[in-house]
Amino acid sequence: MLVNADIYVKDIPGQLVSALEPMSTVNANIIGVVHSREQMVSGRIAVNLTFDIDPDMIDRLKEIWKSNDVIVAKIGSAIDLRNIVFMIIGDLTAATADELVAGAKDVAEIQSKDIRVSSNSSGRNTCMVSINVKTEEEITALDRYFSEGCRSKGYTYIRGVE
Amino acid sequence: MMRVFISGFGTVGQGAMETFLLKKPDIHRITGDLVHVVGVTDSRSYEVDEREVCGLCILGNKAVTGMAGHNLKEGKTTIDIMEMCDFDTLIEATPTNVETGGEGLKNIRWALEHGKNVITVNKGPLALEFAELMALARKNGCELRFEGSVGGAMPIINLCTNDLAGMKIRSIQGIFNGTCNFILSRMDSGLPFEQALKEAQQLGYAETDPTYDIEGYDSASKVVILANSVFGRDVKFKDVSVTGITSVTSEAIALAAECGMVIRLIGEVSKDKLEVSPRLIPKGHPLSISGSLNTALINTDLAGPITVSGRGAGRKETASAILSDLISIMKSQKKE
Repeated sequence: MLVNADIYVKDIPGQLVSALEPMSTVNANIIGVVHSREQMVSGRIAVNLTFDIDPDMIDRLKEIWKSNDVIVAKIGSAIDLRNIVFMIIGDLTAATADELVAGAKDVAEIQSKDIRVSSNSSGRNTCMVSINVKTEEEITALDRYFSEGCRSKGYTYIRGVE
Repeated sequence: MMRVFISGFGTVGQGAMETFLLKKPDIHRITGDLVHVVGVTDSRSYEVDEREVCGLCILGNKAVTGMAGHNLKEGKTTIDIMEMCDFDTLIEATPTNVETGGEGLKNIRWALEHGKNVITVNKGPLALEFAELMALARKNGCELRFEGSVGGAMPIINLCTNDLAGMKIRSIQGIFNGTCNFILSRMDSGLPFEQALKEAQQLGYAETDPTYDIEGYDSASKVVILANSVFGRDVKFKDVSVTGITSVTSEAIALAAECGMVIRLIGEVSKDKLEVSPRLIPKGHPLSISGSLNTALINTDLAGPITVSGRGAGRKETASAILSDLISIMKSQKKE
């Protein structure tokens, strides 16, 4: 996931390194660094970073920055993400729902996902899924993948409205 | 004078007759002309009078005996009876049959072939043979109008084809079945599906056999009519991807609510989409309405999204659409 962050580091030697060094710890790949000396706030310099990172590692990076006294003013996706929200109803379990969603990586590059499963005594469980991807084409591909996947398994697929 | 023949004298047919009686002065004021009903049939009886049948007598007879006319059909079809009198416009309100088109399709074909205008609220013939019927109307120089077939009192077809003329309509998404919307709205309050359905039946929103509504077939018929009339497509009932609401569980409704959403049965039509299915709708969205209303969200290029809403069924409500179509025909004939 391509991420853009505005951080503030103390204006003393070695501080920028304390912000950039953790990138290797979380396996992030730095794409760009803009060091703005003219933007000084309370003795700190503004730095804008763009980097590629596994979304699951973002919280870890923020923890390291905090311990290194790096202030994070803003962090988020560097690109506008598209979101698809849908529901699946059927005799599925949390494991089968995970499996179905995991298979979607073949049709789209998933930036982040959220899966909630609610069980029912009759065995007709409900799974609510929210997935973020980069492009409209990926949304279309995911919609087709889940629509066909649910039909083949006899699940009811309930998509959102655009 | 506009001579009208009404085939089908159930709720809608009776509503049309009552409306013509009630709105006589308004029709005359708007069109400068009068409407005379010269023939009426229901499943068992008929009444014809070359000058004008007595509307009040027929309504009274129907209420007392269950039959519209004093004459038993005794093997005669509505076509046989239509052949017995001269009229200008057929109001076709026989029961919908989406598999064969039923008697309604035969009546409409006959009327158009004989140069009669047709106003129908019967979805079956339109969902099955829209292109053929429109071609028949064109060939014989008459009009086929059907505003009441989609959304009852909710004006959508004439809105899209007349008022939004010149605009590109990108898509129409809508709640086209009040019964399903009532059931899903009650499920929002915690009722299980079966109980919500029973309540809908007790209140008269759902039929004893609710299959046609809850499996999405009624909405699918309307989606076909919109696709053909608004988007100029040539599609039939069988082309619609249909999923009803019977698989929607209370847990699904609750999970959607946790995420600030509701589930509604939505019909969607565009130049390449033809679908009826339950959808997740954010609360506050125009399509998240509760109750038995119909609603449509029309997405246009210039005007942006336009939402219309209204009662999707009912005696007076559906008759209002028939009246609107009849006045349009009378005005266009006046121009000619």
